[in-house]
Amino acid sequence: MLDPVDAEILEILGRDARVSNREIGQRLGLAEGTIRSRIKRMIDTKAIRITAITRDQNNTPPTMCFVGLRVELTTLQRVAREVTELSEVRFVATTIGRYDILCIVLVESIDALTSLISDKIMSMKGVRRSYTSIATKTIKYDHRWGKVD
Amino acid sequence: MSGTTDQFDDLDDRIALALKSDGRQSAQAIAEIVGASAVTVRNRIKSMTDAGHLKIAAVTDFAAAGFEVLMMIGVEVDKRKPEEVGEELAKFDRVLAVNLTTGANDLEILVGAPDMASVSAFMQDEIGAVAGVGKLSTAVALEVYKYQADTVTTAGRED
Repeated sequence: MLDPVDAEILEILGRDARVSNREIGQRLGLAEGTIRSRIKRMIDTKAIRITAITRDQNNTPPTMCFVGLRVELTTLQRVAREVTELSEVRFVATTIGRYDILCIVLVESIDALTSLISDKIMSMKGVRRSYTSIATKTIKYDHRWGKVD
Repeated sequence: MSGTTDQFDDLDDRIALALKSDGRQSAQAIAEIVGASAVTVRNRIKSMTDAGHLKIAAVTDFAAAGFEVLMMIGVEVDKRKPEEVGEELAKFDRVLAVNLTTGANDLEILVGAPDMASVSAFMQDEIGAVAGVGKLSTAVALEVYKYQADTVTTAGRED
């Protein structure tokens, strides 16, 4: 679990993880060693991951789509694990409410979306229906949060 | 980047991939993985970063940060431009993502909350206070299998 000092460190690292431990320490009024050991603990306990976030470097930047699935409930967790394996799928959760499983996918084209859904997802045993909507504009996407494995 | 284009070449891609798996690796360690010199790796990282194509940052596990509840809410917008409503919703810290979408809903928003009890006040006082917010269709996450937010999409923006 993260405490308020961790949260202050992450406020800085969430925007730019190349800031040195010394500089973070100066900003927060803490010793460099304290910062180093807290960051190490957060990484070791898988509370955070330092990663690279990339954008629009190709000719065809990916399009984000929301894919809701209705499945046979006896297959819920198996289907969730199977869709997690697909590289185009960036978010998977079992849900209650309008879907049984919600996925967020990134695709290069509408053709790729069609093939992902009809060839890969709908062919999984237990999947009954899919509901897709395409993001036409991203107003906000907060990259500071995720699931750290 | 290679300097002549705005696009990543093969070496940029491999460096970015190495950084995605561990953003704290030294240029020397990456150089050994991708088969280039540490100086080249350092220069490539700098030009990708300066051009705004790459950012090295900490991703916090939402569960470790105390977010017990994650919800995807489809929003139908009444008598207002969906984009304006989306901009207002984007101002709330608990709203982690806002997208304009095709289909039955005008907007899809991702909301994180510490617990169910706090969701009630958030819905009433924040979401409910935004003019134009109509019918909501909610999916509440039971178990999150994957949440990998390391690519910025078309028209994406960082906050």
